[in-house]
Amino acid sequence: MTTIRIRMLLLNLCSYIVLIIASLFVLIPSLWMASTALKRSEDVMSTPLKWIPDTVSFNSFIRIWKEYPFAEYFANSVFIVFTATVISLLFSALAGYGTSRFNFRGKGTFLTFLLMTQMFPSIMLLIPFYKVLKSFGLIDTHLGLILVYISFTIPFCTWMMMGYFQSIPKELDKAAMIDGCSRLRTFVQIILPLSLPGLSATAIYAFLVGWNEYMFAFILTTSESMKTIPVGIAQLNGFYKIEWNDMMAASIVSSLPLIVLFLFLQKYFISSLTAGAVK
Amino acid sequence: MKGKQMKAAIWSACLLSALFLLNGCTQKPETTQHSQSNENKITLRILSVEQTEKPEGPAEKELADQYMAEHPNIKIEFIGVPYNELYKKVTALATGGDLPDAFFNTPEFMRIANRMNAAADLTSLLGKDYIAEFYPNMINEASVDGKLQFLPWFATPQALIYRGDWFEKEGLGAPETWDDFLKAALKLTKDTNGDGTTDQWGFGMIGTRNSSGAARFIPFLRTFGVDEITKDRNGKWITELHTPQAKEAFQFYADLNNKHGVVPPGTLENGFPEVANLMANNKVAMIISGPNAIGTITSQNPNLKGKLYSAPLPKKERHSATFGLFGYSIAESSKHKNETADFLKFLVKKENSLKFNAISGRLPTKIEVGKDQQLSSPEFAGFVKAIEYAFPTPDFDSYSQFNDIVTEAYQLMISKAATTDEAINKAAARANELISKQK
Amino acid sequence: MKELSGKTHISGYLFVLPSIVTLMLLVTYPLLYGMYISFFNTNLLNQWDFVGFSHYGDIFGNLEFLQRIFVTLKFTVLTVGGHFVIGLGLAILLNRKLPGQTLFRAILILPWLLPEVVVGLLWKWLLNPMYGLTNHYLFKFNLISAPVSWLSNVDVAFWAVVVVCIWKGFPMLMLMVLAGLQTISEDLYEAAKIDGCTGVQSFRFITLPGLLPVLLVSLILDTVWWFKHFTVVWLLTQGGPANETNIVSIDIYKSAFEFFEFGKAAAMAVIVLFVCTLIGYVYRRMLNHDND
Repeated sequence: MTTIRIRMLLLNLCSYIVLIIASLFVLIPSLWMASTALKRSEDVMSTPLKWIPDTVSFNSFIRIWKEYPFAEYFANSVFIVFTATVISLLFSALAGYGTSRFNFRGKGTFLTFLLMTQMFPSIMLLIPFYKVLKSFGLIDTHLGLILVYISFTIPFCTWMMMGYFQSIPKELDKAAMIDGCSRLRTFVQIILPLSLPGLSATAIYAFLVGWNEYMFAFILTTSESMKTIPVGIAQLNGFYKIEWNDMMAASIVSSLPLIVLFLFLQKYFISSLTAGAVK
Repeated sequence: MKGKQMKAAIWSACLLSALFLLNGCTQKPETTQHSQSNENKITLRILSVEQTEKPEGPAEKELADQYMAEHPNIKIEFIGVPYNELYKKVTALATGGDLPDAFFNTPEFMRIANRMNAAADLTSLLGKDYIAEFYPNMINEASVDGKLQFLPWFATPQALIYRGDWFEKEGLGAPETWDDFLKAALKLTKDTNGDGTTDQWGFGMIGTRNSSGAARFIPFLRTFGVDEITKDRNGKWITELHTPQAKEAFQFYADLNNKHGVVPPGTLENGFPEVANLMANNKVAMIISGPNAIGTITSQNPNLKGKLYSAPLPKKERHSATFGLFGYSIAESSKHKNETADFLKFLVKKENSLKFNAISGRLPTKIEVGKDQQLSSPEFAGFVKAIEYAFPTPDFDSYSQFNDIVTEAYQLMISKAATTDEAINKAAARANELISKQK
Repeated sequence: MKELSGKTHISGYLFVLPSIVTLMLLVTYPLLYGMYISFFNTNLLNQWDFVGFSHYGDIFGNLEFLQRIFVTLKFTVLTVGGHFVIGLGLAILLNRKLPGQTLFRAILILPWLLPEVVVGLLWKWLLNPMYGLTNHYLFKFNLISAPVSWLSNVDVAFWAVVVVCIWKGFPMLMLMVLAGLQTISEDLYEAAKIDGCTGVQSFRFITLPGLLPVLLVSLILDTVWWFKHFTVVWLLTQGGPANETNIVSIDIYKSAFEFFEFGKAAAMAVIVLFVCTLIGYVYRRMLNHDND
């Protein structure tokens, strides 16, 4: 009994060591971002390197709201990405369930097609996408970008959701249907709740793709009032000069919603769901 | 029963998406209505790379504001695009037939834009008399087949920027030849604080593999008497990249780093922002750059005001420079060509041109402005002189590939991934392949 | 399953219908258009010279492109391998429900949250030979005596780029696996324990099979994404030093928007599509026996 306990303790200790090393690997660059954001423009590139500058300045954080219309970029990003995520999640959960529970002709083709859409270098899709959206009259609109992001995320989301649904025993569906549930009710009331961890992971993925996407947002919008956050950030990476502190401040501010979203969704990861509860 | 429910749900999902599509279609007329409501006002949309730079962006905006105050019926709307993405954006807009009234253009891109019929012929639009007010070689540089593609707004010739104060202290003059240059570079590469490691270098080389690296290297190559591409007596395109002079030039460039060690670490990754920063931090004595670098450097270190001098690139066979010309094209599709032209004329007016020069360091393009006192300071004198040696961008369709050809070659040499012969043979082979494809 | 499949395949179609409609409307045309232009010399506007397969001929007639494919494969294998080892390992550790795991999760997810542009520039800055944090600390601990030019030196540049790409990409895998682990029913582990399975055995016979669908998809897509990855590598090295990190996507980008040879760029993109399809096929053959 005690040997097991010691082994557990050792195992936990090792786990913590690994986690701490990995966290440092992630944290040091991230904290350097924060440190840079708090520097004055003239201190950004000074030697020796300092984690905490002599003059801590919040000017960058003020500038991104005042000098650049980041508030507008922010509103655009939130609206576009949120809508795209919800729709994409809805469509891909349906498709993922359909493909994990039914056999139909063309299923393999459909799944392969989904993968194929991810395999063509997207730089070559820029101009054709422009043409498609133009023919719908959707250049420089929120809806245009929403549709683009939906089409970007559906393939991966569908495959992921299919994977998560597959790990849920099919007997559950059968049991529910014997109880008189319809297909859709079985899906919504029984399977969906069980795959909350998968749903939230997929949601984070879909949100992130849209939130950080730059190239298409840049090409498919023209007016200042339609720009999204990544387009705004890229403008700070000038040809002649990189506004390091402003750019880092903007990146930090732009990743805050993601961190909040993650913390909010992550409670669904913890609630381990047992199949037994439904049986 | 269950089928019905599910169908209902899925149909409603489809309906939802259809609704969204419809919503998009209704959005469009709304925006056009909006612009019709104040139809007495003309909106000029201008695609600008200056808008994403500082201090150029605010300066340009100020000029536009001034123009709008003088012309209440005109509204100028800038579309800011980072320079790195300019060609992509213009291509996408052109293929969609959506170009704004004016867009930023360069000698590198103008032939491509011309073949897309993107830019209006400014020669006929502005008139010969007006165009005669500009330096003829710049007009030539901005023209294809005698048609002016963009109105030259400013020039950024590549020249040598050096620390005048350090040179005077060491008793050095402006380097006239590459031997002088090397001597100065060796003298100024040193350990200033005596800790045993070099902390000051003679030459801040921009060794990246992109147009920024090539913009320095190609004029350098030309000072050795080598034309990366030129026409022979029969009017056929040839390259001189395989000649002994070319070999000497490449060798000299690579040796600066590999043999003489006058280049700070990170040669092949240091682009313009990095090197400008090194100069601002008193780490390097010389760089090759356009006049705008002076503004970039002194804004990072105001103590250097008046200490940066310029001189034309040193020579082996001859001096050389590029124009580094930039300006706006008026879109062929624009409905307000004359109004746009009027604004462009406003930008290059004497007082505005000088104002922009003072802020951004870029050189004016009109003859009367070029004679101004402001441009004879030691900072700018070298650049003004360099322009005299500027060579026109070869009228070769795929000229932009030469940027990649030469930068690949020097990277191969500096990184020691290939010998000098291998590197220049490869460069020459790539050049010849392009020439053989040219119609 | 069989008794469900026969009469309900209409339902299957209805479930996938919204996705199919969206993708058909939006993606099919750009994809086909991308393939179409690979047969032309074109400026995408008013010049359309049909050249048949000559772009493909040019590409394969040149050894360089095959070298690029090789560099890209090496880059992809190392990057994706890194994502899997680190992502899977950390996910399993995080799933042990140790105190403080929420904090670790929030930290470890960070690289994924940052835009690619920022990651590229940030690391270029961290690896800067003179002002970079990396050299600063290596000096401090006396590990190096002269500054290392991480991105200029042929011996290390490739590895530096791989490390940055692993840094950027592992959290996604970690999160997907973590979610997969949660979806596996705990009953199975209970049952295994009662049957006397060891931890390793239950990992082998419960965890891995349960994760397999998710792992397979992640593996295929992660490979495909990083095979055609562009931004981070471009910002770090632009394919240099020499051609050390010159991956296919950089060639495509340059051909299209620096050299304006859209046809050739599209041809290379089509080849990438084929290579990726092949990789996907091999993976599915290797790991998945009963799907489709």
